[in-house]
Amino acid sequence: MSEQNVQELAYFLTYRDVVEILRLVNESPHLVALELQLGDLKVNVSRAAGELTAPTAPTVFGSPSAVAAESVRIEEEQCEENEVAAGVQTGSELVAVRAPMLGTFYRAPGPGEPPYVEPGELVEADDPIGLIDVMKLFSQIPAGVAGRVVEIVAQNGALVEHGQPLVLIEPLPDTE
Amino acid sequence: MTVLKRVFVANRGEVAVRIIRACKALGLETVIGVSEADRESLGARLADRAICIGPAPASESYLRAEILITAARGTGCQAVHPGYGFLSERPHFQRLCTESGLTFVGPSAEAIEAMGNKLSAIRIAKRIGVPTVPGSAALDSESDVQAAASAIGYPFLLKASAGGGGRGMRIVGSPNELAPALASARAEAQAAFGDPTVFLEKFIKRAKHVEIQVLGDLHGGLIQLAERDCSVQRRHQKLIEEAPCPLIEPAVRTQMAEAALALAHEVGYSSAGTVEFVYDMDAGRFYFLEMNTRLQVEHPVTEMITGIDIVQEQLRVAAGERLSVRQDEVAIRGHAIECRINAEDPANAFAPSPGRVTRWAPPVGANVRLDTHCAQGYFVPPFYDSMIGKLVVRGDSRAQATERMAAALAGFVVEGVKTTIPFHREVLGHKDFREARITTRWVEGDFLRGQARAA
Repeated sequence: MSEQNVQELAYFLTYRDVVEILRLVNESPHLVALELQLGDLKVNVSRAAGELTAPTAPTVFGSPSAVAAESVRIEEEQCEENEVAAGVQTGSELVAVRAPMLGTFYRAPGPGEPPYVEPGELVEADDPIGLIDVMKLFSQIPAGVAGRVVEIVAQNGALVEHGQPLVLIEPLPDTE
Repeated sequence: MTVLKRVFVANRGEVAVRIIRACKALGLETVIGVSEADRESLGARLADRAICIGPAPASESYLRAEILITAARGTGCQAVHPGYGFLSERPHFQRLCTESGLTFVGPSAEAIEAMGNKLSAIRIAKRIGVPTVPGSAALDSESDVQAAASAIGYPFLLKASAGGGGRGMRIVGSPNELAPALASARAEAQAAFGDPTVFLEKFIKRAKHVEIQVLGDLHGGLIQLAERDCSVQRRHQKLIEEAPCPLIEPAVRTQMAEAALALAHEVGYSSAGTVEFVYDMDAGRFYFLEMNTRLQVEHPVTEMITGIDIVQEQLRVAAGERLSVRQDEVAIRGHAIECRINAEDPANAFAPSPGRVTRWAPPVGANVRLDTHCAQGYFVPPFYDSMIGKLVVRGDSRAQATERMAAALAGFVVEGVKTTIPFHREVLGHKDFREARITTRWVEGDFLRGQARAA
């Protein structure tokens, strides 16, 4: 790691680092807020009513309770389950359009273009709901079911795993 | 170079667990790519993060280079450890990693290409004077065959040039056997492959499989960690490995190690690799076979006698560091044996036996090591390799190691799936194993045939 000094700004902030930062914040009763920016990644922590929150860093953390558990993986899984659960809680029979492959999910056909679908819109089974990019090989993902788009659960530009829910659709008998 | 903080594990099973543990020991985070069948695997639980890369069949998950690289990059990893099998020896995968800004934990693509291709490896060995199995070029006329026969000496193998799978192959023991053997081999080769040309290869009657572990870094450091003896094989699949080899003369061992280092040096080898030789027990000579440009399944026996963690060394090398040991610091202490525990039924031609493990009670002890991803309740999926664990013991002597392995196997209880444990118990108790008389043909030629007779 001889080139470390040349590339000192290339430091990569890891989950464990963030957990450690939050632990230090938590153990410092006089600290009210902390803003930390490393390259593209911004961590903003502020304390309200004695409780720890991380409002502007949703890509890193969803809930402070998961931080306390020090298991980011579990936290992310919870996120995913919560999202599905949220759909189920609406009481209707929602269908999740799942990622047929691992890759980067995009909501629009290209940068600056409007998304394929927005919540509330009607789709046919063949209509694309997004793209998955695997090393510049883009695949359109069809809705697979006709109905009304209820929620886009996957983040634009984020890595999605095989089988991960992308969009929730409320099936309708026939939209024609 | 980016600082190495997070490693992507592009493999499954026990080796995934092994890599994750080595990463943890070095303070590295891990992300594992798992198929749908491995979502609940031990590797998935131990890694800092598990991400599903595709359906159960390996061709749709563990063999999808571009998916694995997308997953590694998308999860912020700086390096990819390929383990063994799957994509570990594909130069294309190495290149794709490098082009995507990921460090491949292994040698360069050029080294994989040079040594991974068997013919290229043999050419390199010949060029630098490493002995290879004596043989001839493809031969057409009977007089050429006779000339080659007297050069190589009897006995030798007569093989079809275009062949494979043993078709057209003859063992020729003496000059008067040559003419009839040649006629039938040529006829068979012509019928099977449309090409009657044959070539000769020295026949080694009593052969041992002996291999040298090498480790290199990117600063010119290159060391060898002595040899392993992997002669207990069935259909070219290793079942039991030990280190050191019980019957090689110190002078031959030194020559073999030097040959391995010369080959590795020739291709600028870095990371862990294994140079395989066939050892002729009667002549006391060795010949280069091939090199495995990756971590080897049986690496733990070397770790047990050297105290060197080979996977941690691989990770250090990937991070751009030097090897943590010099050659003069490598010392061999005692003897180690490894038994591969496969979910196979040895009583039924080693047929795969996937399914739910209803009872898993492994042995424990100070000199016992078990590398596994298996546990009680684990479902052995039918999609992959049948190996569910590697039982390794160390002793001060081979006899002590053998006793300890026998005791460990006796106390190893697995129910729900059939395993190779009963096979190992019998081999460890066999006179031939105890007296170190095992050749690569022993399991099929002596042991299993003897069992069949006894039944």
